[in-house]
This record gives sequence, structure tokens and C-alpha cells, in this order.
Amino acid sequence: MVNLNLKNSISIQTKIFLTFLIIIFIGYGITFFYIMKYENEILIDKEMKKLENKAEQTLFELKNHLIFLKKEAAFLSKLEIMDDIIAKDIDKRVSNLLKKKAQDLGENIIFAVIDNNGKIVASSQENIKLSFSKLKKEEEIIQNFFIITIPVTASFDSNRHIGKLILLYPLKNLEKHLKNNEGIYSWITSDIVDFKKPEISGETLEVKKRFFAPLQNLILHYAVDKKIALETVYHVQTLLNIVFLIMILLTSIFIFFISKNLVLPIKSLYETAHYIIKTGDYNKEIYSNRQDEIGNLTKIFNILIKKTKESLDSIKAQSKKYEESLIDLIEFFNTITKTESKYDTITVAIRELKRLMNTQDIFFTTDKSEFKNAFMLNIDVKNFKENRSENLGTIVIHNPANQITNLKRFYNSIAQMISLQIERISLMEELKETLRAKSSFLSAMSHELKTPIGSILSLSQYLLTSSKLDQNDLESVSKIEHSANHLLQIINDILTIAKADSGKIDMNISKIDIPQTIKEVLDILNPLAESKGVKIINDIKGELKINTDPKLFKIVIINLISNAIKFTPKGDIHLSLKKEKNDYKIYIKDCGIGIDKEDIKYIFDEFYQGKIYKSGTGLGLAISKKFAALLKGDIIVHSEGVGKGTTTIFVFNSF
Amino acid sequence: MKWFVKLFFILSASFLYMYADSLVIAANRNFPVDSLNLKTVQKIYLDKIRFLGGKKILPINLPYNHFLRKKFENSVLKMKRFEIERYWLKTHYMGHRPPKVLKSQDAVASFLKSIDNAIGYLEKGTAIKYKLKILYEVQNGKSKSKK
Amino acid sequence: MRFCTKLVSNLLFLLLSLFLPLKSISDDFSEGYKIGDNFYTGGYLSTEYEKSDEKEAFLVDDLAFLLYGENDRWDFVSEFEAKNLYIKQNLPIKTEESNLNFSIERIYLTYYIDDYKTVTIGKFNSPVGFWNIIPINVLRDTTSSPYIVEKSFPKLTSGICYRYALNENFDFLYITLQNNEDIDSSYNNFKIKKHYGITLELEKTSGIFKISGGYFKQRDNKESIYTVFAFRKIEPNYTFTIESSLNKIDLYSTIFYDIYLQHVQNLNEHYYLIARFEKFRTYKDDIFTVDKKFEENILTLGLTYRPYPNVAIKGEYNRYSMQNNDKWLFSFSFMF
Repeated sequence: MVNLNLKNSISIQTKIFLTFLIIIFIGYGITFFYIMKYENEILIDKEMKKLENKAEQTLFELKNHLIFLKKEAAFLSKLEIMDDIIAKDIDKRVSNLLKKKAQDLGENIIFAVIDNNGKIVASSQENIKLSFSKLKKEEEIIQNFFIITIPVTASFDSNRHIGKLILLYPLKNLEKHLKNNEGIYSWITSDIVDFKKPEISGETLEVKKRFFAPLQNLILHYAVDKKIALETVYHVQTLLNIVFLIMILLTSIFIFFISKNLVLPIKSLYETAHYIIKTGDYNKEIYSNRQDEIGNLTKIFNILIKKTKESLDSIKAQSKKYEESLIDLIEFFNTITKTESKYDTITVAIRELKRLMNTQDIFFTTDKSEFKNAFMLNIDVKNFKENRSENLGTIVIHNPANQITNLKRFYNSIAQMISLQIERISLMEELKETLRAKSSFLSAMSHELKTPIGSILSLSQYLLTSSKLDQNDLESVSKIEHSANHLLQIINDILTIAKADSGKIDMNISKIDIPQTIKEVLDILNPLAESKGVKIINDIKGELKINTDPKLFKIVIINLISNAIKFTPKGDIHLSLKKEKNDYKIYIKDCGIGIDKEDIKYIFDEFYQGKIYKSGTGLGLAISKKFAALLKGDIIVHSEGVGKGTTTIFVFNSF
Repeated sequence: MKWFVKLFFILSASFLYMYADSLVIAANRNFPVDSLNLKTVQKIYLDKIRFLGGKKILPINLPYNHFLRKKFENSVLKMKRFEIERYWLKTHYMGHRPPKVLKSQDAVASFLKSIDNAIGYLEKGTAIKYKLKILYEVQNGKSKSKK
Repeated sequence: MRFCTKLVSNLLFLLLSLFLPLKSISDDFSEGYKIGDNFYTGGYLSTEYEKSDEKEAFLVDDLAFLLYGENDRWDFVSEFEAKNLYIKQNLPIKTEESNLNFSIERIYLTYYIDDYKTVTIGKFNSPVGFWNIIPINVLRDTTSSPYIVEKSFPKLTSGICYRYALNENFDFLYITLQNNEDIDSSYNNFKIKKHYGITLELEKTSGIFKISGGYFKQRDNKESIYTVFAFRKIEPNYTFTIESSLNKIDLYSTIFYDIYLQHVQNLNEHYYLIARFEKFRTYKDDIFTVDKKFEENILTLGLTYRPYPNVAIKGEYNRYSMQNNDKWLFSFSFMF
């Protein structure tokens, strides 16, 4: 089971929601803070500016209005009919014109035309009380009038000044151009004319603007009700609250859609993936009909799952195949290893290959020619005697039906296996033959040697007893007799080993008492030990009856103890018995010369005698070990080194 | 009322035409010349002469229907109304304008009184009344006989 | 085609809009429009219909705008004219063409030096004869013009004209000088680069005499001399005019001549009957003709109706003795 270690402390949905919420809150917070802190001042400032703008706009309009009037007057002054000024407007043409124009313009505007003496020649209104003799400027204020004066020249002679056209504009008119509405008030103050001031209730913001020249004595006032001015702030605050609520609502709806459209498919993906990981069931699929990235993701996820499943299946199939091949191969090897001759090996190999490869077209040939469309398994076998490879022949495989990957390696290993088996068989045959030869040689040699040695012994013993010999001769004969005796012992030992090797030792199993047997052995060996001054301390006492061959057992024990006596110049030899599991162990511990650690490896080799002690046949331990093996046991030798004594362990078992 | 006034004027005009003064060409006392012949008057009124005595002359006309204008056209210019209009059309092509028009004899007289280089045609009585210089006088009978 | 319909509709609109002010004519007729302290504008339009055995044509032959003004001693006149705005001909083949290229027909300043002398600088009508002074359809007597104004002397001069009154009768002497290219040669009959002319205008009780003589040189260096004699007698019931010219072009050995006599009878103030006889010897412009000179007699009879002073509806018949050019001509023209 895979440990997924998945942590989702906060879901995407929550994160998105929180993010939006935070954004809205920050936005709202900043806006709210800004409005609370600054908007009041700014708004008042703005309102003042607005008022100023309005005042300026109004002044601009008024100015334009006056400019318009001036243009009208200028137009009149250019008319050819103005030439009638020269004729004192006898025909009243100018008067009529002025009246008509004044009527057209309205606003109680008065036109008048004066001649060069300042006398009124024509006017739009009778009884003008003003005196125009003081007029100096183009535009000026006299009494309640704004007066525009335009010189008139003759149409036939632009150098001839014939009079002036005068436009009288009642200043009171200016008031009519002001607008008072929606809490915004405007009025004019002046010390020349009494203008009306609108009734104002409550606190106001007020702006004053001086009129343009030559009306600079007039002041235009603009005021706004403070409540109305600041109304916007409250409106904005309310609006902000509503907007905030709407934002929250919208966000919720948005999140809802997000979770539905974005998070849910992802969740489904996640759950499916989780399920697949948990159960290993790759058949699961996610359904989505979306066309966007998530739809694509789902599709790709499904494809991924499908591909994974396919891969896993193919891996399974492959591994099964491998497994089968392996089993086949092992079976093949197993079968091959059971064969005991070259012929058998080849035959079995071909049979098994036919089974493995599922084809009948396999055969063995010693023909060296090539075969097309076939695998050639060259069976090369090593000849150990001559130490070289030789080719036995070739197994030819035509069109194997069973496809195995790495076929070449497979065939190579098979070929090698066959070769190995054949080598093994030939090696075994050789070994058997060698062992047989060795045994027969040894027994033959022993029998052939025993007869002359027997003759030597009996003749030398006869000479010793005949007493016809002088002391020198006697000594010599004695040495012969001794040497022959030693030689005979060696031959007997070799014979014994040969017998053991060739399995010619007959075993007679009977129940014996081990301590009793040890005691009997010690009875034999004690005189020898005492002669050397060595004391044998026997700790094996009581009763232990086991089934074994008493003769072989005795030989081993005698051999081991006599060895100990032999390698112990002085001191004690301890004998003890232990039982470990099913094994019985007899410990023979001496305090003799010990064995070099190097030598322990070779101690059981035939004819090995060690470096220090060079007497005896050197076959004792080898024989003992062989006999111990026959008694389902072993001989183990321990030594801490030269001069540190030796412990020999005889392990044996009951039959 | 208006009707009555108009009728009165027409009657008085015809009365004047028949019995009263002859037509004169008059100007300010400062006018550069003291008398004019008929051809010069014609040429001045047809804008063929623009300068006299180094000064630009400003002929003054009376309104279209003024009885004096008709008389002037008949006896001085000796042209029919339609002809005169064709003439001014030709001068329009040449870049010239017909004379300035004032509404009444009195206006003309008053105008002439102020403007030195203007000339106008008036009844002799009016010219005398306004103390204007008479440059040329048309005899009723003569002009008629001439035509 | 679309342009033509557009043009015609525009012209109709123009006609309507221009006829409306005509109503006031009977009251106190005045021409043009005042557009500034001392400036006036105006214009004129002429359309013709021509019918002969071979040819039938309708054309809007003239549209012009005037801008003029005067100051104490200055006169300024300018005229911008588009000729042959629209032509629809039915020769053997039907053709229809239109263009609207305005050219400077006249532009000049006149300065009044004193009571008797003026000097004019700019482009102006050559002060020769009577017809050439007032050459536009609505003002002239017939739709067709006599050959004399085309073949004898340059219609327009771009230079200086000095006018001097010889006496108290205001008989004038004109001296015309041009020693440069035309200001705008589009509508001049000769493309000249030099013109020296002199005219004597005498007003007698019997009539007005105009005697002119001059020399001009065309762009192609053809040199010509001319002399023109003109006489006009204006009576309340009729006007009689004679104009004649002799001219010699250095290329030709022949002396060309032209003379016409015209009588206009005023039937009443609206109707005019015109009879004109013209005889001339001139040259052919086409280069294939070996004998380039040819003589011609033209007899013209016409009737003109002027419902208002500034509107003319004319009909006439031209009879040629040599050329195959007998035709009927009708025209409508007006000025504003």
C-alpha cells in the first residue's frame, strides 16, 4: 500500500472564497476609510470649485451676452441707413430701425443715436433723461445702465464721423440671467443697483466673484446649501454598502460556480486517483463533458489511467512469461543435471528444447555446415586432460515457435548448461576411474608388498633367534627387522585407507558402552603413557550406550589418544565427553607441542606429518577422520599455536 | 387715417408737380463747382464721373416711387425706368453701384447741408429753404419739350 | 451622368433661389449683395440651346461670380468664371460632358488719379468697341456674338490701362499696355504675351465713336496689328451699332477685315428685335486648308424678351453665306 500522505487543510474553494473576500474587504476598507477621512474636505473643496466654475461660467455667459449686444449695435451702426443721421433722421428711418431692434432684443434695452454734438437724433424710446455728453468710453456704467457706445461713420466716406450709436442695457437685467435652483443660489451685489438676494435658509458654502470690467463694481455670489453639497458623501456611503453586499453575494455565487465547475471536477479527479491508488483498480474512469481545461485534464487523466493499466497488464504478462520461461529453464536444467551420459544429455536436451520451444524441428549434428534461419547451439566441452576446448557438435533449432526475449542469451545459457553437464559427466567418469585405479593400485601394491616384507620379517626374526651372528650383525639385523615392521604398518594403514575410500570396510553395528570402551582403550595405552611420563586423566564415566561399530570406534579413540601421547613430551591428557544435540563429542586435550595454525589446514591430508615431528606413517589422523565419517561423525582439531597444546574433538553419532 | 395721409401726399405732390417749383440739382455751399451742365449731371448720376474739382462726388437719389425721381429720370437722365435698371445692371458687371437713396426731399436737403461733396435733386423751393447752392435747374416746359 | 443630374438640379435650385429676390425689383431695384462695408458680390448664368440641320446642343455655357468693392479712390473688380459647364450635343453622335473649372476672367484695381485720369492694373476687358466691353449673354443683344470680337483683337488684357479724359465732355483716350503673360489665359481668344493698344472714345450728338488700334504678339510669336472702328447711336426706340476692324497677322499676306451692322429695335421695354449683318474675311485655323483665307456673310435675326432687367430670354436665327452653319439659337440668362 502506498502511503499518499495527502494533506488538504484548506480546500481551493475556501482559498478562492477567502481571497475574494479579502480583496473585497481591502477595497471596501480603503474606499470607506478614504471617504470617511478625506471625502468631506475634498467634497467641500470640489463644491467650492464647482461654485467657482459656475460663477465663472455665468460671468462668461453674461459677458458673451453683452458682447452679443455690442455686436448687434455694431451691426446697426454699419447700416447705410445710418447716413440719415446727417439729415437729422427727418424720415425717422433710423428711429424705426432702433425701435424694431430694441423690440427684437427685448430686455428693456434702449438704443439711441446721437450726432456729433451729442444731441439725440433717434432713439428706440422717447424721453431719455440721460445726458450723453459725458460719454467717453466705449463701455461704461451710468446710473442703472451699462452703456455701449459705437461711433458711426458715413457709408460713403469711412473717414467721416457722423455720430454715435448708444445701447443702454439696464443692469437689473443681469439678474434675470442668474439661475436659482436645487439648493444653488446666485445673486449680485452692488452699491449702484439694488439687486434682489434670494432667501437662503441654513448653512451654505459661498463663493464671490467680481464682474469683468467695466462692471467691476458688481459682485456675483454663488452659494450652495451645505446639506445638499454633502449629500453625495452619504449617497456614496450608502452606495458603497450596497455595492459591498452585492459583491459578497456575487462572490458567493461565483464561488458556487467555481466549486461546481472547477473544484468539483478536480475533486472528482483527486478522488478517482485516490481510489485507484488505494485499490489498484485501474478500470475506473471519470466522466466529464466539459470542453475547457478541466475537461481536457479529465480526458488526459483518463488516458493516463488507461495507459497505466495497459502498461501494468503488459508488464504482468511479460513477467508471467519470464516466470514461465524461468521455470522452464530451471526444469530444463534440472532434467539435464539428472542425466549421466553425454548421449543422455544431448537427447534429453533436445527433447526438453522441443518442449520449451514448442517445435519439432530441433536436431543434433556434428556437421559443421551452417543452417539458415536457425539458431545454432554449439556444444563446446572442455577437455581437462588436455586442457583445451573441443566441439562436440551443434544443436540446430529451426523456427522456434515460442518467442523468448533475449533468445540468444537464453540459447547461449542452454548451450553452456549442456556443455557444463557434459563436462560434469566426463569429469565424474574420470574421477571415478581415478579413484578406482588408486584403490586397486593401493590394495594391489599392499598385497604385493606384504609378501616380501613378511619374508623379510620372518627371516630377520629367524636370524635374531639363531644367535649365530656377532653383535654388529645382530644390531644390523635388528634394524632390518624394525624397518620392515614399520613398513608393514604403513602398508596396513594405506590398505585401510584404500579400503575406506573404496567403501570396502564392513561395518558391524552393535550397542556398546562408551565409558567402558574408553577404559579398555586406556588399559592398553596407559603403559605407553607411563613410559613417557604422561598422565591420562579420564573424565568419562558412568554409562552411555550407543549403536556404533566398536572396532572402528576403538581404532579412532586409540589413534587420537596415542597421537596425544606421542605429541606430549610431558604433562597431562584430559579426556571428556559431551553431548550436543544429537552429536556426542569426546574432547582429548593435551598440553603438548601444539600445531602451527598454518598446518591445521593440512592436518588431515594423507602422509602429512607436520614440521616438527617427523616420525610415524602420517596416515593416522587421515584414517581416523575417515572412520569418524563412517561413524556419522568427524574429527576436529584445535590448537592455539606451537607449544600451546592441542584439543582434538571426536564427534560421533548413534546409528 | 393712413390712407388719408397718403392720398393727401399724393395730391399735394401732384399739385407741386404741376404748379410749383422746377427741379434743381443742388449741393452744399462748399461744393467744389458752382454750376453743372446737363451731360455732367447725367454722367455723375450714372457714375461715369466720380470726381469733380478733386473731390469725390456723392449723388443722392430719392426713393423708387418718389415723384421727383421720376421727374429727374425723365427730364435729366432722359431714360426710361427699365433702361436705367438695365444700365445699373451693366455697371454691376463693371463694379459700380447706383446712387445712395434718402427717403424724403427734406432728408436730402438736410443731408446736403451737412455733406460738402454731395449733390441731390430737389424742388427749387426746398433748395432755397435750406440755403443750398443750385447747380443746375430744369425747366418744366423745357424738359418736356426736349423729350 | 450622375454629375450632370446633380449639376442640373443644383442649377435649378440656384435659379429658384436667385429668382426669389427679383420680386423686389419693382420696388427699388439693386443688384448684387452687400457682403462687407464696401464689398458686393454677384454673378450670372447663361444656358443655350442650339439647333441646326446637323447639330442639336444644349449647354450651360457660363457661370460666373463677381466680387467687387470701392473705396474713396479705389475700385476693385474680380470675376471668376466657368465656361461650358455642361454640354449635351447631338451631332451625328450624342455626347455629354461637364466640367466645373473656375478661371479668373477679370481681376483689376482702378485708381482715380484726379477728375480726368484713372489707371487700371490687372486683367480687364480690352477697351475696344462696344461688344467687348459688355460681353456677357444677359447684357448683350444676341446670344451669338459677332466674329469681330473673336478674330480681330485680344478680348482680355493683363496689364495697365491708362484712361484720360480729353475734355470737359469726357471724351476718353485709353492706352493699354501688356508686356507679360496673361494672368489667366483660359478664356482669352488670343494667348498673348504682348499687347499695346490705344482707343479714342468720342461722344458726339450723333453717337459714340470708338477708334482703336493696336499690336499684339502671341505666345507662338505671331505678331498682329489691328484697327477697330466702332459707332453706336442710342435712341429711345432703337440702338444702332457698327463695328469694323482691319487686322494683319505677319504670317499672312492678306489683310483680314470684319464689319457688322446691328440694329436693335425696342418694341417695348421688355421686347427687343435685333437684325445684324456681318461680313468678314478671315483665316481658317485648320492646317490642312491650303487657302486659309475665306470670306463670309452672316445674317442674324433675333428677338429678345427681358421680363426683368436682369433676365433675358433670347431667340435668333443665323444665316451663313459660305459655311454650313445656319442655325437657331435660344438662350436663357440672368444676373444677380
